[in-house]
Amino acid sequence: MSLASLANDPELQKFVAEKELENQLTAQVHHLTNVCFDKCLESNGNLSELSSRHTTCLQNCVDRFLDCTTLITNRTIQRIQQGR
Amino acid sequence: MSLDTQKLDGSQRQQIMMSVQQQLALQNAQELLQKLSDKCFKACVAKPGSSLSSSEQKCITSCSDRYMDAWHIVSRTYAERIKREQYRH
Repeated sequence: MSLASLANDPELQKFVAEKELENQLTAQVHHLTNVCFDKCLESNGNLSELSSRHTTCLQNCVDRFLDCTTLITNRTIQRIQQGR
Repeated sequence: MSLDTQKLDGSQRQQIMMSVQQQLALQNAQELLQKLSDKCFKACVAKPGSSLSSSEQKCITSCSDRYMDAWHIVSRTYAERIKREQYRH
């Protein structure tokens, strides 16, 4: 078994590509949880459970953060195209 | 340099795939643990004493439970968002 045999194995390549994608998505979940925990739970340690208000806030936080990223991406592309 | 034309057999491939899977799971767990400690230490331990008080311990326990709850909600919401985006294109 050599690096060449690893690299030339299509099933393994497909598996690694899938895992890399999965890993990226998981990393994004970690990041979103990090941001939204602070935003929605206000770093409150002593909650015995999450209320529906907290749950809604977390859901909104995820969607709004992603909207924010999309907006910034589009704006940045726009600026590049305008040559600024 | 001679080209190694030997292919992987089924069990070798399985072994490698399992090893990669395990490493990624471990990495994920470590990341989570790190985040939990950071967040809950910050939220629960205002001034570090010579040991963790029982109220600090209770706070840390709740905090880590709530963070895990939040993680699952975020994970579901994110997955649903991705599905929605896919159907748009």
